[in-house]
Amino acid sequence: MSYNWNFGIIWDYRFVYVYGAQTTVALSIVGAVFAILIGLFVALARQSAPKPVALLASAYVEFLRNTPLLVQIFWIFYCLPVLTGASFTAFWAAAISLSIHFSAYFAEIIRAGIASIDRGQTDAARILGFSYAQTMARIILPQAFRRILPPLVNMIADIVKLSSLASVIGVYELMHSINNAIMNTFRPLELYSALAVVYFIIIYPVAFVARRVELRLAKR
Amino acid sequence: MTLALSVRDLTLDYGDLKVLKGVTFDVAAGEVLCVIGPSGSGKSTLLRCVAYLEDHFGGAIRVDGELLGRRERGGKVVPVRGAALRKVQGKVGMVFQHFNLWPHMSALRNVMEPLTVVKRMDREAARALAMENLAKVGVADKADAYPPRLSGGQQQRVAIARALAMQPRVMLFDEATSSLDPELVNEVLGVMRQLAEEGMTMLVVTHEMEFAKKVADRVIFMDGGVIAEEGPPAQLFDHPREARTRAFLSLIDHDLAGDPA
Repeated sequence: MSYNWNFGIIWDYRFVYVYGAQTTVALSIVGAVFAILIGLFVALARQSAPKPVALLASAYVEFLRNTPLLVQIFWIFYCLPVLTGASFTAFWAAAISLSIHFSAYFAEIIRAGIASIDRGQTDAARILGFSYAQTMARIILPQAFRRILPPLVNMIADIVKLSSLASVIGVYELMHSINNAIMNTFRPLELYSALAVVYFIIIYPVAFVARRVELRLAKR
Repeated sequence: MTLALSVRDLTLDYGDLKVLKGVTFDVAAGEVLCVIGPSGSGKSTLLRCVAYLEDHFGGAIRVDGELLGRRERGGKVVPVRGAALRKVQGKVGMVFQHFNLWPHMSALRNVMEPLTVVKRMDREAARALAMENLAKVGVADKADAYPPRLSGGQQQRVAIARALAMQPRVMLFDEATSSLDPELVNEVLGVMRQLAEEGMTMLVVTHEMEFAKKVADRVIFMDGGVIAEEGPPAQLFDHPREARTRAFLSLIDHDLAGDPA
């Protein structure tokens, strides 16, 4: 096979990588922040809300975990505006999809983390007069956070990877930007290889920092 | 004599399992009441009810004359929650078998946290009060240590300081020395004894019969969810009236046969 490599093309398209990466990172941050917040809320609802609300929260988790993210993205981008009249830009449609899809996984991780904390921790807080919210915020969640940090970081890495699906509705994140570049240049080998490296450069530091935080917490 | 605690016809069941079958007793202010009995007799459950960590009990618990977790309205008794509940619950302090210190906070923060969060004291005042209580139980030098670095006896003393700092009306001890290594038991019992001498009102579930004999004003023997016998320690330990009290005490003595306690 005599393929004529032209790595210079990567340099020519460096700004496409940079702009794409910016959008990918923005999409991932928005997605992760809202996914964690919604996930926390759903986890607490499943655990402590009155039965009907808890069941609703369980249904939410099950439905989102058992349908493809790609379908959710299409549905929110194409169907939701028709049904509600509210329309979103492609970026926000993708951000919302990532938030709700991953909120289901975060809800499960956070719920397991809370459940792993010894009952006595809550007992002590309650007899000392802490309200439910104070007990959660000051006693339970800080301890649960340490235990769920590794799966939490895995999930955040997954969000970055799956943000590439936003390309299907035309968000100019990394995947879509590079696909376009390839159509113009017919240089998939160089550009896709570099694309993989760029994703790695984005995701690896997240896991690295998480590992350091984990070690620091363990030292105490 | 004011009653610090009054328990009337307390019942509790988990489905078909009746754990408490009508328990009635009083604790006067400054009195030390020890509760002994075989495991499964309902002693710890009784304490959890008085701490309102179990809320579906029947009967009535009054702390300092105030109904715990309930309110009388138009001749009917209805549950209360939130701040109204915590106001009465706050008069009760509890020390647990497994200490239940918060491992992500230093010993000092463990004592300060309820003061700043619940009593809304400012940090400096909370720190001073916390240090005072840590000193009182002899662990002031461990203020900055995290609980996993402390011995069981030190952890339990920090837990006692944490409860004391909130200035409770009644202190509950739920087998406070049962998970300690034998050589650490006395440092905790010493603190409890000191509290008793200072006039703290105490309800103590314990397996330490020597402590009950020497420190208690009164002893309750529980069996099968009821109070089987009640009396001053001299009477209950030396001249038990009930056959099941005698049976229990003989088992305990047998256990202690090889122990220099």
